[in-house]
Amino acid sequence: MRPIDWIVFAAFLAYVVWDGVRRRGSAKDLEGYFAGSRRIPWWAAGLSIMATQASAITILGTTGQGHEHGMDFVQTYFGLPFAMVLLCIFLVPLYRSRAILTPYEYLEERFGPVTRTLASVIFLASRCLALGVVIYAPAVALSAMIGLETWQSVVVIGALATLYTVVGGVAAVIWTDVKQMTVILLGLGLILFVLLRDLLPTFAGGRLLELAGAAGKLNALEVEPEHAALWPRTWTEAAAGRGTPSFWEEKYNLWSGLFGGLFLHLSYFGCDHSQAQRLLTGKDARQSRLSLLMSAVAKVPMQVLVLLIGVLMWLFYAVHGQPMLYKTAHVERAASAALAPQVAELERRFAAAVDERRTQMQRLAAVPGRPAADPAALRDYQASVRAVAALRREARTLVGGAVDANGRPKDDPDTNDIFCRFILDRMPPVVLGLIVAAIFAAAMSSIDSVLNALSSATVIDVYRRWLRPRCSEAHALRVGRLLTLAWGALATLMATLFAGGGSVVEQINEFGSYFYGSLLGIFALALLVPRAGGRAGTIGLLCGMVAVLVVRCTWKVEFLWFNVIGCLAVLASGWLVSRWAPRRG
Amino acid sequence: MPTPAPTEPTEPPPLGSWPRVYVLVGALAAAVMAALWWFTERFHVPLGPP
Repeated sequence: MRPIDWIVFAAFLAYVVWDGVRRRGSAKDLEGYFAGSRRIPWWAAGLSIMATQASAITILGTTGQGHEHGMDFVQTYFGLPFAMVLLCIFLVPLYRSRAILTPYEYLEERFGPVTRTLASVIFLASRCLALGVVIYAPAVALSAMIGLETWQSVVVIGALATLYTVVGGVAAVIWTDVKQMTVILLGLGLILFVLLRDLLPTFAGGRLLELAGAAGKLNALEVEPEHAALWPRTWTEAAAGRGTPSFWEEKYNLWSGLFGGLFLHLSYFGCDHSQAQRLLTGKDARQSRLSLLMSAVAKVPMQVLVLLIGVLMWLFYAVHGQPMLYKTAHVERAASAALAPQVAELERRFAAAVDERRTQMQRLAAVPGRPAADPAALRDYQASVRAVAALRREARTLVGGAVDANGRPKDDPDTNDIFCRFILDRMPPVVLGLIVAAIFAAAMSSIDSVLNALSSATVIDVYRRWLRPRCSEAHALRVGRLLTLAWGALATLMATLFAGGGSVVEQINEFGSYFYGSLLGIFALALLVPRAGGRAGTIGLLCGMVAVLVVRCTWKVEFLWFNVIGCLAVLASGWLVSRWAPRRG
Repeated sequence: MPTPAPTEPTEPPPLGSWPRVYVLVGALAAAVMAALWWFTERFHVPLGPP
């Protein structure tokens, strides 16, 4: 980064911290600290909802997904608008008719204190671990850009977000999120502009999309499942290559996005306190509904934009030549004496493959009409695309150092490093600083929300409920601040444990899916089965998590379906228990 | 045990009623998906077998 980039970057960070800290005046009691004194306007809460979800992962992981796998990931969000509408109808009135500070307080009213505490603890455990990943992702970017160790970057990001959240509470979280979301959108807009300015003189807009589409990158909506078999394979069968791949193994298609995504987002926005907290900060149910509907309208188009940026980055590299390795650790290992001869040979083959792909791209671009009009040119182009991808995979396997269960070298994906490499190499001064600031903004906007929510759930559902029920407001507020600090420190520590490969965005969604279905199921049980009481709630919640665990360990099923399985298992087991142990009174 | 929140007069929903707003949001989501379906049909060519 150049000095001017550093100035832009540092100025933005300083502004965010100052803006968060100056909100301390509104955090004088528990309702101020954890619910913004219920005076947050809907548009600010709506932007905060989007900023919390659009973490650094959205920028790093999703653009990387677009570059590597095309646009199919957007289908995960197809259930989101419908989830938001259902939440507006069922959960918002439930929350806003009570003076609650966490959604789990409602569960006590309905099922008793054990179910409430269990749900809250599930939230605390799952979010703390996921928060580690949220801090880790931008730390990788920072490390690659300014030469810090990953753990040092983790500490910087974790410490800054913790600082203003401890002081300013949820008001600081929401108002800094507003600024952070603005910078994120500005950063994405600038990257799109730079990419289009470079690519459009080479190929017209339609031809550009046809070239990306012919490389299999514009798979935004897949109605026909690739596999028709409905019975899932076991892991043993899959590992041995036996049995037919099933519908449930497909990661992204219209159906997993609509149904799995619907359950995931119902749970994330309605039952995960880090998001549901926003519904408690407006002055009434109208404000809460509008903040949810803002996301319902904007989220899918925003994801399309981010994935499209990833696809355009792929086109950019296809036109201008691309590095074989994106990850800094890979590049460093490739330079070692032991690997140098093999890497040099791979580099030579890779350069030839990239040249061939460019030649085939130009040949296909010259075909009149659509690419399919010349099947031979299309076939050769696709073969060249596959060849480059295969060589990159071979190189990552060689230098990545990752091994499978049998001790054989395996691919060490660099999905999250592609974006960093691109902006470092290609962005002009000032813009680079702004985009690095946007990555940080995205990271902090997710971390701050979760920290405040973790602290809130610990104080309200555990400390004040079980340990010190008669403590004063001032005492509970002090404990809340201390717990924000403690959760910040713990999450920062967790982040250092996630320094693995893979796509971070998938890790987060997958991890959440182990718990989210059950969390949603317990709220659904409360609403749909009036007979269900405390026993039904507690047993149902446990059965939901066990069901997901059993399915996860036995069958090859993609993570989005865990949300459906967990929810239905809670409902079914809760309903059964309610038959012999109905709710009293 | 949570206490009921104090009731306050609220502004009317946009478009006059919430069901209308929900229908509009659902229609917008369906329109975006339809646009993406067209986009995929128009531009996407799956990578064939090697």
